[in-house]
Amino acid sequence: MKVICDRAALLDAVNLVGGVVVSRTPTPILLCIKLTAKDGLLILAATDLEVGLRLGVDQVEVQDEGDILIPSDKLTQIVRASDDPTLTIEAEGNTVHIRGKDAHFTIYGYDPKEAPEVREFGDAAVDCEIDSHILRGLISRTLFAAATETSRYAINGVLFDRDGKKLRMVATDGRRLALANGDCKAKDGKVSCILPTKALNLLNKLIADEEVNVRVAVDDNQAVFAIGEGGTAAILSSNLVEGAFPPFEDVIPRDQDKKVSFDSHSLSSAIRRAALLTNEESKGVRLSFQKDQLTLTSRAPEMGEAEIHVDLTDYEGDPVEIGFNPGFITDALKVVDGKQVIFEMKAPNKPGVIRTGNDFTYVIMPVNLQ
Amino acid sequence: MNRILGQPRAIDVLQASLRSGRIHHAWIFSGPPGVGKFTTAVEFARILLAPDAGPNLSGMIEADPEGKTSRLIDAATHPDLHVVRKELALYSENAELRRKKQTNIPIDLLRETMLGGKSGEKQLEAPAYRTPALGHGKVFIIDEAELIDTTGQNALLKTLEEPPKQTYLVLVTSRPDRLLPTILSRCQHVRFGTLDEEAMQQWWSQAGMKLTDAERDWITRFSDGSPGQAVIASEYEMYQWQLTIAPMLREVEQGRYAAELGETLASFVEDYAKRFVKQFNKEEGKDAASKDIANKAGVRHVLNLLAQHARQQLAQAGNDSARIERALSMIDRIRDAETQIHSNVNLKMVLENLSSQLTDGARTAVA
Repeated sequence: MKVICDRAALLDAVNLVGGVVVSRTPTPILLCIKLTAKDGLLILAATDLEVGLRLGVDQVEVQDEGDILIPSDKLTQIVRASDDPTLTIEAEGNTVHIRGKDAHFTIYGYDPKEAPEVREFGDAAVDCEIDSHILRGLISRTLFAAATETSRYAINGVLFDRDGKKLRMVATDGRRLALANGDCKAKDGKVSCILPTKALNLLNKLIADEEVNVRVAVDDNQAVFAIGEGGTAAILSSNLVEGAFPPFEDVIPRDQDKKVSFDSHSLSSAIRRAALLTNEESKGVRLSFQKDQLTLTSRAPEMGEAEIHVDLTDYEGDPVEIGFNPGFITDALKVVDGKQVIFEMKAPNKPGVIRTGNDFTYVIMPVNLQ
Repeated sequence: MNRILGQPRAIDVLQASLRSGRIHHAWIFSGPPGVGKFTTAVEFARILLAPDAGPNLSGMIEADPEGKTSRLIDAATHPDLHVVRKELALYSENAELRRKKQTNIPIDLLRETMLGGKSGEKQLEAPAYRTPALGHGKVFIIDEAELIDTTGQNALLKTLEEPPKQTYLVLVTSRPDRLLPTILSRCQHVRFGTLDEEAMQQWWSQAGMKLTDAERDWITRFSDGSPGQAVIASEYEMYQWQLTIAPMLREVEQGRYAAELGETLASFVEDYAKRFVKQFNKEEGKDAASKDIANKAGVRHVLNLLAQHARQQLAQAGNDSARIERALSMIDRIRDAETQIHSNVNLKMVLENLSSQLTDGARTAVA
């Protein structure tokens, strides 16, 4: 293998792919990035055995095709520290030579056959295509609500559920549930799987500031995302979470008879201020809805109390007093991008619902303040 | 699996299960140290994970040794074979775990490598509850499973009872008595024995160690059908130990007190522990070996050396009842010493005490 590559482009790719590599393992091969020179591209691939990432770099001149396994940290350090515009990477057996204008590094690599393969997208059947800004919205509006410590493993991930062109993502930790809707390009049929939070965090990073098309393929064991088109697309593959996601549709209340709309900023500010006087034992904030006013009260034993007033213009239904964990409400308000939100309730012992149009539904279990 | 020497019963059980196609998901492989339990577990995993495993000409189910699955397993990079052992703590994301001396398998390590959950401030993914990367199931092998602490064993119960689909767990242990009854009852138990003479011969012919005949004969007897023990005995030159203490033991048998015996035994333990710790730290590049564990292992080898001597005396005693008595009393004293070691009595004291008691025992028997 021999390639001459643009250092800046290589650095970007090495940084992204190197991020997948585990930091500690007794097996040195798993600390490596695989470089493949093929069809005028240099492809970087790495896996931590749960998530795999492939990235193609086209600002290269491939002189000899081939592949090599090279320790990620050394490759990153060399590419970062060098200040040449281009670097030449040449493999000789399992040894890699990296040459700059005045430098020559010899790195001992490994046999690429001994590394687990990182999936390509070519072998996957496309299930659907999504605009990256829609996918970003779906992820940001659900990921935060996934369970973090529970032995119900299925809810440690986010449900990816496609029915025709409708795509839903759902996450819950048993005390709140977030559901986001979006559109995608797909044929008929249904697909459902649970994506691990690690993969979604990485996916979110990959699509953070690019407007691209994301192709998704799902099979029994893995989900594969192709971000962008052609040889330079980033291919993220991930194992799935085992188990069945709970029947979340039954959890979303349909008969809420008390409704009110808020500007999410003003509600968020009121909740955050009321939350200042809560503590570990009294986590709840009491929301008392009257015809034209919402009063939020909280109390921290032996410390003090808080009372915040918010004017209401369109409250529908009888007055109600209901307690919520303030963190759960602000979590949701953070991800709705300053929109109007609808707050729906039924009774002090029934869950509350926050909605923004049709694309976001958030169910919160109340807390008992007696 | 035909690479496994001298374990026909264990192999039969596993092959029968593989042939039936209804493979239990949780296994315990138990038996003396160094007889091939872990090697068998890896071979078992190889068959479970290889999509093309099937019967060979002799009817044994085997995986293609040249296939992709085998290649990855041999390189320790197969994404669906997870080996959990106490040394993995050195590579933990949790700094506290990394700093700890290697004495057991703490629950945080199980969380990180299998079960997921919270370890320190970090939220961990649960590898046991992910789909297999290559789609042919996944296998978890826990080596020295008796080292899992009680909380860890309890945390394993749920996964042992209802494992995710296509997931197999193999607990490898030389002390199944230290596993909770609730763990034992959830697993299918495969017992491994020591290798018979023929299998040991076969092993020696493959091991390629350069030893004198006398050394080899002695090590064969000392290791008592365990290739693992034979490797340790030759690595730590225990044949020399034996040569050093042989005259002292002869004194003892005459009922004469061998003043240096206790001290010599203690020096063996000290040397063993030092070398063990040094080698371990060199291999792992860190200061993580537990001196305490190394000391205890050293004492076990020394006691084993004495026991081997006693067994040999017993075998040679014929009808000489006094000699039989002497050997039996020696075995009793050694067993006492072993119990004391387990209850954390000072090692040197135990060895001094043992050597004087051996003399007393011999005197009584002579009288």
